[in-house]
Parts: sequence; C-alpha cells; structure tokens
Amino acid sequence: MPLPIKVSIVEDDADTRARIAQSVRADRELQLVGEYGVAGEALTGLARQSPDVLLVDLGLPDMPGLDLIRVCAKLYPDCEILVFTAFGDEAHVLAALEAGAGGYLLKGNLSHDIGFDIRDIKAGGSPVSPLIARHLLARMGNAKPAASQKEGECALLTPRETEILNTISRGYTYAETAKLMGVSATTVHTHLKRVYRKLSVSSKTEAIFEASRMGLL
Amino acid sequence: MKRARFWPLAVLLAAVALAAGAQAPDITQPIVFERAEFLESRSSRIPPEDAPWKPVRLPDNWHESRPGYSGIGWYRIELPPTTATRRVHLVHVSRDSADLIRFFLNGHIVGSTQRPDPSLRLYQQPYATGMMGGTLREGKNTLHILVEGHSNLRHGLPRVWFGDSVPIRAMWLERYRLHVLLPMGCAFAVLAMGLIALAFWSRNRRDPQFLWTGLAATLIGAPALLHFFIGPGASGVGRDVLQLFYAYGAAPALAMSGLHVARVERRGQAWLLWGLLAVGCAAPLLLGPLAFVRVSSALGAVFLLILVGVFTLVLLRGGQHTGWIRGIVAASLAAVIAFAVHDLALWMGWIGFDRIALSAFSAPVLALALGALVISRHLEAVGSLANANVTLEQRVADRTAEIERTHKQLRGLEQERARVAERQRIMADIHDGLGASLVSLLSVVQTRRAEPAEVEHRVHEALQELRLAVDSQDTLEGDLLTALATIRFRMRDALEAAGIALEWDITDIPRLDHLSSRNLLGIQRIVLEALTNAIRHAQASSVSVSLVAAADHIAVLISDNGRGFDAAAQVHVGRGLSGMRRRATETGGTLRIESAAGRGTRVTLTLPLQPPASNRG
Repeated sequence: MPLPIKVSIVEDDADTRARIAQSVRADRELQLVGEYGVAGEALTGLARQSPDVLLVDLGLPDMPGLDLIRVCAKLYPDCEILVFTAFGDEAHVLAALEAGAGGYLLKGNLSHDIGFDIRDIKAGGSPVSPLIARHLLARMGNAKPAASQKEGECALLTPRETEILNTISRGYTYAETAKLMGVSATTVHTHLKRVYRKLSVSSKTEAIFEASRMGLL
Repeated sequence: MKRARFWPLAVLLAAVALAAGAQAPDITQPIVFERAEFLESRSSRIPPEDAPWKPVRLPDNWHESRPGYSGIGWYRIELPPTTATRRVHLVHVSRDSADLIRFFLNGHIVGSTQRPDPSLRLYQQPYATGMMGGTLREGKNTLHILVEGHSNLRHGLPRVWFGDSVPIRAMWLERYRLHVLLPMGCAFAVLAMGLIALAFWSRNRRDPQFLWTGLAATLIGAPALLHFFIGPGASGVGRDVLQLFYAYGAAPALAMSGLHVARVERRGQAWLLWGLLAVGCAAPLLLGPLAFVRVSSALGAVFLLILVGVFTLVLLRGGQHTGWIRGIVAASLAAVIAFAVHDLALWMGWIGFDRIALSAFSAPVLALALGALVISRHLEAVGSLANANVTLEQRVADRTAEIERTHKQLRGLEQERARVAERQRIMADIHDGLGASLVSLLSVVQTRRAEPAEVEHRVHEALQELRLAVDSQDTLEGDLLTALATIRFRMRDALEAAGIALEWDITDIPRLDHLSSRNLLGIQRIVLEALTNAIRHAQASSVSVSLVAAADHIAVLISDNGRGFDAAAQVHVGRGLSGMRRRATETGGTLRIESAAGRGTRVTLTLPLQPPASNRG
C-alpha cells in the first residue's frame, strides 16, 4: 500500500471544515495532518507538517486566500494547493491558478468522495470548465488565425494545448476530448497541467514586467 | 558763411549741399553786395547820376523798407575795379522776388527776368545773367537794377552777387537744385508713393489706411509736379490752385498721419482723417479761384494751427503706437511746423529776405512719414497673420480636445448605460432563478414536513441557479457553444449521480451575434430544464444533446429514452413546459416537445441564424 496523501485544511467555517475533515479521515488513502481556521495558524503549522495537499478557502478572516496561496506556492513548491470555491466561476478560479494553485474543489459538491477528487486533481489537475477554457484561450492563446500572426508575437499555448482548450470550451469531457484527438486521457491531463503552470508563470512574468516598467525593480 | 544760412536743412540736405559745395572751383572770389543806392522812380529809364539816390541795405524787402509802395524802383551798385575784363562775369540774385527785375551795366541792359504773375511773389527760382567778356570797363563799372513790384507782396531785391562766371554759376546751380530740382523730385516721390498705396488698396479694399494714405500722397504729389511743369507758363486760376496745393498740400496729409498715430480710428474718429483730406483738397480748389494772395497766409496759419494740435496729440496719445513710427511722424510734424514757422517769419520780414522758403521741403518729410506708416501697416499685417496662424492652431487644438472630451463623455455614458442594463439583467436573473427556487423551497418547508432529500435537492437547484447567474456574468456575446458547454459542465455531476449517460454532439457553429447574454441564459435555462426533467421525471438511462446547423437556422435537440408522457394531455410535471416555451419565444426561437408514453421525450429548440426582422431595426 502506498503512503497516504497528507492533507491540510484551511477553512474558516467550522462546520464546513469539520465535514471536510470527516471526509478526509474516512478515506484510507488520505491522512489529515492539520486543520486551521485562519491563515496565520496555517503558516506556522505547515512548516512542521509539510502536507502533500493543501485545501484553502479563499475567504479567510486574517489574510486574503490568494496571498496565502502565493506564499505557500513559493515556500512549498511540492505541495499541491487546491482551492474551495462555491461556484467555480472563472474569475475566482483563474485568480487562484495564477497565484499558484493546482486546482479547485466545488464546495457544493463536497458530499461526494473527496478522496476521489483529490486523487483525480493530483493526477491531472482540476476540471477545466468551458468558461475557464475560453478564458485561457483568450488570455494565453492567439485569437488571431496563424496567418496574420506576427513573428515574435509569442503565443503561450502550443497548437495542441489550443486544440484541447477549444474542444473543452465546446463542452466535451477530458475523455471525449482525448478520444476526439486520438490521444490518451493522461495526455490531456498533462497538457492541461502545463497550461496551468504557464498561466502561473506568465502571470509572474507579467508582474515582473509591470514592476520593472513602473520602476519598482 | 553761406552754408550757415541753411542750418535748418543741414540734416536733410547735407548730401546735396556737400555735393554742390564740392563742385565750386574757387577761381575768383565772388562779391556779395549788401549795400546799394535806391531811387524811387516811375520811369523805366536809368535815372541820372545826380538824382537823389539814397543808400539801402540788401536784401531790401519793400514790405519793410517802403510800405505801401508799388511800381518801379531803381538800385545802383558801384562795382569794384577789376582787371579781368576779358572774362565772362555773372550777376546773380537768389530769388526772382519781383514782377520784373532788369539789370543794366554801364547803361546797357544785360539781362531781365520774365514778367510773371504777381501771385508768384515768392517764386523760388534763382536768377543769374551774364556779361560778355569785354563788357566790363577797366576801372569804374556801375550796375543799375530796375525792380518792379508791390510792397504788400513782399517784393524787393535780394542781395546781389557778382563775380567770375564759374563760381557764380555754381552758386546759381546749387540754389536751383535746392529750390527747384529737389522739391520736384520730392513731388515725384510722393506721387509714386501715393500711387503704390492706392494699388495696395485696390488689392485689399478692406484696409482704409492705404486709401487715405494713397489719396493724400497723390493729391499732393500730382499738383506739385504739375506746378513745376505748367506753373511758370500758366496763368490765372489753374496755377493759383496748383500753387496752393504746392504750398499747403503737405500739411493736411501730414496731419492725417499724425491723427492715425494718435489712434483716432480706434476711437471711432476716423471721420477726422477724411475730414482733413477733404479740407486739404477743397481749400486750394475753392480758395484758388477767389484771391490767392489774400487767403494764402490765413490758410497757412490755419494749417499751422492744425499741425501744432496734431503734434500735441501724437505726443500725448501716440503712446500705444510702435515707438519708431511715432518718432518719425512726430519728427515730421515738428519739421513741417518748423518750416511753416520759418516761412511765416520770412513772409512777415522777421528774417532775411533771401532765405530759402522751406515749405517746399514738406513734401519729402511727408513722404518719410507716409512711408513709415505704410511700412508699419505692412509689418502689422505680417504680425497679425502670424498671430492668426497661432490662434488658428490653438483653436484647432482646443476643438480637438473638446471633441475628445465629448467623445470620452459619450463613451462614459455608453458604459454607464451598459452597466445599468447589466445590473437590471442580473436582478432579473436572480429574481427568476434563485428567487423562484428559494420561494419554492420555502413553501415546501412551510407546507409539509420537508424530507431532507427534497430540501437537499431544492438547495442544489438554488445553488445551480446561482452558479448559472454567476456564469452569465461572463459576457458570452453570442457564444452559444460555450453557453451549452457550461450547462453540460454544471450538470455533469447530477447526471452521473442519476446514472444517466450523456451523449454530446455539438457541431461547430460561428458566433451568433444577435443572441444577447440574456438570450443565451434563456437557452441555457431551457436545456437545463430539459435535462432536469430527464433526471427527475423521465427515469431515462441516457440523454443526448446535439446541435444541428442548417442553412438558415440551428436546432438544439435534447432527447432522452425515458418513459415519456402524453404530450397532448400535458400531464407532464416539472417546472413547466410553458416557461420553456416563453423563453424560447423571447430568444426569437421556437420550441417543439415531442413525447409519447414509453417512447422518450424530444425537445427541439430552433433558432434563426439571422436576427429576426423586427430586431434588425
């Protein structure tokens, strides 16, 4: 039996936290190593426990969830950070991904097997909704056809990644996408994980560029 | 000594005087006679030696020495002994200052002026006449001079010069240049300037300055010039008029220049200028035919007073004018006033009778002043043109900024309107979706003992509505594919939980720009309702959603393999087929529901590819 996945939870709502903790404990492949109500506690606790997966709520009382994600992503690059979100709407999700999160969990759907979700996300990132795919295309791809694309204009997405996002934005699942493209589902996951990372990196690059332009660096 | 007499002209005429002086070779020093003997006589024959000759001083102005005298008077001058009798000698008087002057040497007539009209009493032409070699005797020679004139016309005899022909001719030539040629040239210049100004005006009639400058200069220059050419030979009224123009024309024109510098036009007193011009023209024309002699000095006095007044004005009010213009006009006025005073003194006998009358030089002074004004006008025009350019550029910049501002405002309004519309849409969505779900949940909880499963279902439904509303914040702008995909994404878990397989078959279609976000939300709700019905009521094991594109429309088909219902009997439960139909109509599409018991349900939403005609505006 493989080592259990160590999970920490940062959630200010006690009931939700308790319910999630219960789900995690119920799963034999998961090990709950910490549960915190505020970001401050979490930061001190994380230093000792070094979890594999960190579940973070965006609305924390003492610190914006996004900031916590940013700090943790820097301090513990090996830790997978997942975000709780009520709606999975693209604004929150993209912000979390940019901050360095690896995926998100829909709060309303938590009655299901959380272990399954966590394993699934660890394997291939959280599901990209069609809206998010559309946004990723708009932000990182080149909306213009390749013919009119200027040389040196860097498209962050490879043609393959663009195709995958395009298909997802039309409502197809990963499996269907893989089938349509004649690749394995794992390949689709890999591609999407890479897109997530690019988003995080590109947002950092953008920040650095902006900062240097403003004379802060 | 001679040059000292011209001191008032020294500055203006220095060059002419120097040139004349340099030409005089000093062979024999000319003699000037400032004393003579006079004899009153009515005879035109030389009086005898022993007549009662009385010594007089030259120049002899009859107005002073013998008031009221009129007729012939005789002068006798003893020439000093000379040995150079073989040389040509000349006798010279600086002005033709009587009706007739006739010279006799030793009883023989040697020369005579013409007999001009009495009006030419100050006729400026110098006179010289020669004595052939051999006419002079060794020893004593006597010169008799007959002068016919009137004391009230300031007739008399100037000083008499006598000597070798070469220096005397040089002397005469100098006097001739100053008295005749220079004023003539000036008259030419003034006339030319006037014509140029008039030509300017004819090109640009909106500028009256060129008109009055041109008229003034032309009306002075032309008569002055005519005076030189036809004056001596003409007689009567015509010459009197010309003479008056010549003598007094410059004064009103110069006064106009002064008034211009004093800014009468800017003060709405332009009539002063035109009035002066009219007076300047009318006075000689009207007074000439009357009696030139009597009114002449009065006219001169009037113009002198006007000039003094204008000069004062220039000094007091010319402050705003360009410095050098004001200086030139003021200096010109001062010079002309000085000339007039000088000539008045000459006329009244206060100063030497054979001095040069300076009024003739008013013309070049006038030319100077008018020229300065024309140049200043030109500079002003150039300056105002440059100003106009700057102003124009400024105006263009202002207008551009204004347009940008307006544009920004309009854009702001547009955005504000869009925001308001968006807010209204969100409110409507929340009211129709989440609000309705919560109301329904509340009634379930209130009316019966709610079962946890039912409540959970209702809450999920409410949450689903909320997510839909949140998703619709993202402006899809006619992106029907993503709208449908979002529904699938949201319903995936619910379908899986119900054990229903979903077949997804979506054709790529272009963006449908006529579908607003609200339309898309309506379509999403229709699909959502159909799927919910399939999950909750149909007991289906598979659902298929497909998008079919035809030439002029697209169709969204949702079909299940559930138990179906009797479409005709409308026994179907759920949130209502009527709601779905209403939404389809709002979207501009049509909805068809086909079902039969045991044969599943098929919902077809047909949407036009083009916006409906009523929406096209």
